[in-house]
Amino acid sequence: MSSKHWQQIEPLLNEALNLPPDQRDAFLQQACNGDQSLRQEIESLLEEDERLNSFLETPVLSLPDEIKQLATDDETESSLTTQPFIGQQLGKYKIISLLGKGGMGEVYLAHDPELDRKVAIKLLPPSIAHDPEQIARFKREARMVARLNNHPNIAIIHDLELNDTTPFLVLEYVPGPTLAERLQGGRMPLAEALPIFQQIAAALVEAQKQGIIHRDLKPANIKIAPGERVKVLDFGLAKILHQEATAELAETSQQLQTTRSYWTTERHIISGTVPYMSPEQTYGLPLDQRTDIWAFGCILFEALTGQRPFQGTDTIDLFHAIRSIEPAWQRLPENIPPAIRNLLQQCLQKDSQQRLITANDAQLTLSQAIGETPSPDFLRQLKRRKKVLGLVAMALIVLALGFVFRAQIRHGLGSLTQVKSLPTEPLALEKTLVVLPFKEEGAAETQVGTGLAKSLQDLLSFIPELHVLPTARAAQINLADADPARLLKALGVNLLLAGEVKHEGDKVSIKYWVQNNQNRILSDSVEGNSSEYARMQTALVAKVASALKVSVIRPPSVVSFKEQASEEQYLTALNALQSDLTSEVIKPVIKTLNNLLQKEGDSARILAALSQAHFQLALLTNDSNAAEQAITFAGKAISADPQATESLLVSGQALYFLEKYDEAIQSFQKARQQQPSNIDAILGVARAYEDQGRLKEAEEQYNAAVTLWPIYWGGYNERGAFYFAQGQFERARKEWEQVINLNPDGPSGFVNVGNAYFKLGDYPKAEYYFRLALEKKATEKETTEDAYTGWGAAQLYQRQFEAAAKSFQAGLTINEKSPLLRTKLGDALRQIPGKAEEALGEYQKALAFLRQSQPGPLGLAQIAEIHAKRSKLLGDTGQPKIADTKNADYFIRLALKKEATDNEVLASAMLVYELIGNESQALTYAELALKHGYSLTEIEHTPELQPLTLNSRYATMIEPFKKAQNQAR
Amino acid sequence: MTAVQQSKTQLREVQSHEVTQLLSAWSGGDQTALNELMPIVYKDLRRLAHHYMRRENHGHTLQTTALVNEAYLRLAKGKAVDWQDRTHFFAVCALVMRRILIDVAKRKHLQHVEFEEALSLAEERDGSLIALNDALEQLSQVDPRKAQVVELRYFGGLSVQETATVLKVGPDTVMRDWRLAKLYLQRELNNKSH
Repeated sequence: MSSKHWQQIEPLLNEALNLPPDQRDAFLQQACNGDQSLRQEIESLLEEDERLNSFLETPVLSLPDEIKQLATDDETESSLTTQPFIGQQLGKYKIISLLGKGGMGEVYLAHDPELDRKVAIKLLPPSIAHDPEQIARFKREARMVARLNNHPNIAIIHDLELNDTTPFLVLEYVPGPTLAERLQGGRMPLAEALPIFQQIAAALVEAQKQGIIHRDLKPANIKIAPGERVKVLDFGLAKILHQEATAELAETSQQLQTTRSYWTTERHIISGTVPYMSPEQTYGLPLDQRTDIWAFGCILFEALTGQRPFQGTDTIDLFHAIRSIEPAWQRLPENIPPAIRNLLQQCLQKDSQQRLITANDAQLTLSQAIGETPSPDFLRQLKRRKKVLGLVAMALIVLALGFVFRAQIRHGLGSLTQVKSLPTEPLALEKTLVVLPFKEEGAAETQVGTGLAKSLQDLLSFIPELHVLPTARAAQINLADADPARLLKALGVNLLLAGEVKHEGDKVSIKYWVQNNQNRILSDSVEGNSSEYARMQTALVAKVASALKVSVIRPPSVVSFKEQASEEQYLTALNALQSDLTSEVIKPVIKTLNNLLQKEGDSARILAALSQAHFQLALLTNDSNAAEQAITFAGKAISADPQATESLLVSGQALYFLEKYDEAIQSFQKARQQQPSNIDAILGVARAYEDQGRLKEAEEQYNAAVTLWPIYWGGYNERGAFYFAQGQFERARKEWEQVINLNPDGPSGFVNVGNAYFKLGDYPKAEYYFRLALEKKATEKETTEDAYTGWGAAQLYQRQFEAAAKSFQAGLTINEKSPLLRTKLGDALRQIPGKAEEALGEYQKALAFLRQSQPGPLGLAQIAEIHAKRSKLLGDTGQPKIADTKNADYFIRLALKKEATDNEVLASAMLVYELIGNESQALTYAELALKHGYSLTEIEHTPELQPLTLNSRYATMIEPFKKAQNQAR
Repeated sequence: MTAVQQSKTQLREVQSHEVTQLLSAWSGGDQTALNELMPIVYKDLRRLAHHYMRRENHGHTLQTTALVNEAYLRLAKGKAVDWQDRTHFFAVCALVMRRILIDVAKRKHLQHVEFEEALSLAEERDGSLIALNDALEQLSQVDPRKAQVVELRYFGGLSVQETATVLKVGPDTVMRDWRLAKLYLQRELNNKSH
């Protein structure tokens, strides 16, 4: 045939091919115009068309996309096609978002309006649809894979759409993380791994029954759907979805082979993802079901050890390892049952002839092992926030810091032989007392008033019939209110001891009185000079005890320090420790106390105060060394005086701070034995249980605190915080309403109810309560700050941006350094036209403040959030955003590394990834945050998260949480 | 330095400059660049074959595809190779593959096998390959582009899109050429075997 001849044939042949076969004859008759040889030539070629089948379809050389991607790192190729699909219609499906991009092309989440369900759509190379032969092959393959549609552990194929522009496969959409994502969090405990791998094995059993090989089994292809249901994705797709011209027919030749198979059977491309490839895959040999067994073994090994069994710096190394090197068996944890070890060895036999043949055996071994392995206590992983920077969390800091300790002075009292029995009934009301901070006149240099009250509280709490509420708790009340009846109600006690210290030069006069509901039942004074505080306190306590007609086992007396002046220095130090603390204040106090200790020797009182000071420092600086020192000093105080209850409490708190919960509980329990009605001891135990995830026991302890002090609002407050942390906002709200009932003058109850309404999504009510809180004029500026923060946030969520900005600005006049308020102000300004630059500035300031501190996980998450917000805003206004995007990603990873189970941190991760454009990650963290008790309502109302909530993968993901929420209501 | 490390280093030296420069020259239209590329790629494939043989204790024979897969990895790894160049590199490999396979088939026929021992080809395929090669030669006489399409797609495993890029035509043209070329070749082969 000459070139010229061919040029004549080609167009006619082409045209004929495009016609339906029954019209071709007529066409050729006319087109050849009597040229019989031309017509014969064309007809002979047309005949071949019917037999063409897979002729030459399997190239001699072809690379799986994975390897092509390994060969070069540039992403230009794949990124070209990605984004334009989102939001578009593909057939009847609406594309929602990109789920992933792999060697086999892009996968999108889409919505099927007819069946109203979510599906995953895998795009196919467009060229497929141009070739009827390819189409036929695809249909055959898809039909085969569709045979797996009835297995619970295999994601199904819904449909195959072979239109000529954008052909695609419609697959079952499975929510939840992939095994790969799960393994990023570290290796799996055996008890977690076994049920997962048992299900993977079950999927392989089914596939083997149907004669289908996965050939690209890897952690990224295994989904862990809600309820720990495992689904294996992409069964058989490695074959179907490979480049259109790379049909691999050898393995399933009986179903697929047609005539002229010798053209196609010899080709064995390397398919699969390199680290999980079987040795035969690396050689390009024909594959059978044992290649999946190998991959299964690789993945099980990785899950149990956290490392892939075969590693290499490049493909050659990796191939070498797969072919010739044994996995590091010694890496398997010691608790692995021999049967599992044996199973792994059988799966990872290099010679496929020696390998385990059927997945049945694997499934059986795993099922047996599950029966023998105890399930892990997942609840233990639950952890509550510590020091918190979130909106509501901010209010809870007040609670946490209210939990502060005062040194208990036990000197001179000797040891009690009589241990009080633990009360189970509410306390008798007439015996509950609080010591208010003493007012002070004159001598500004030596402030002792609050220290004195504290010291007296310690002494009085040693009287068995008297139940003394810690003075610190009185600090949460607005003491400016002079009406004693209201004060008593606010404090939940029926007696109060108050007084005034007057300084005149060296002379000190202490006026004091005891008040019940109606009247003062004692009013007296003691005088002396400033070196006689010890004597004055002894006299005062004796008077009070006698007036209250309570029996004192021994007359309490304060053992004087060796030097009389020491008492005043001690009280001054104690006083400083009760005040608004900063680390700058505490450091000189610690110095003073250390000097005192040098002078006085191992005084339990000084040691206790030192312990308290160090613990305060630990709280303020988040420094675990300081907490360790607090424990050491508390221990010394307890050896000097075994009845040093306050030191037991400080020790318990410091241990709690260090997350040594068991030891903390022990310490609190000891304190409670000494002082059964000590509410801090009870709450300490409750909190430690809570953070251990022993929620039932924690709740019992909170209940005990409330039972013991039914008219004291503090117990309800703590129980509310407990429910709040569990995401039970309605119950929390009820507890805090009770706080308001008992203490209508205190602002913190209003702030907390506001917070609860906020989480419940009732922003107008939240706003109302925050405003009420502001009307209460809190003594603590943090509470006011919180109220402004909450008020602004409630306005922000109602899209009242200008008003919100004003509220935040008002909050900043209280505390100009609050990073939270700065951030929120930025959030509000960002929404106001023309204020983008101001918003960026506020974010920048917030970052500066945050970075100065030593941020914990929540602080780091906060930093990440701000960077993400900046990134979004910069992007929206067309400015470079890469630095902020990178920082956001970096800091959120850091935060998650430190605290992977805190719902606030997880919620931050969700927000960060949404803002920096990684919606798939955002969804993953949204689910995790919800799992750990984050509020669904809040997600739905956060303006920045609106796009996320429109993602229909989101709708599937939240279903179980929505159900739970409805049930809770 | 072990033998393995040494040979890896040598391989990297080959890839770095020459290959990328030649590739971009070729994709820019310089046909002489292809002539220079071919021996480099060929040599690299040979080197890889020996490399594998040392590591594999002669326990296995090496599949052609695995070998050329490695050549891709080795030679295309350079960051400077953009997608266009990479596609062209695949095209070079297609040419080389064709040459190697035909050589092997012919030498086996003559009982004259050297390093290609490492390349295992199914016996029955050899004859078919030689016949296909002949038919392809014929096709390139009457319609060179269609022959190139077959070369790239069958010997090089290039996708339609990649083939289109190398040949600077549209994907539709490639699809049409591909189908017609197959009809032509299949008929030629049938005629021969009858």
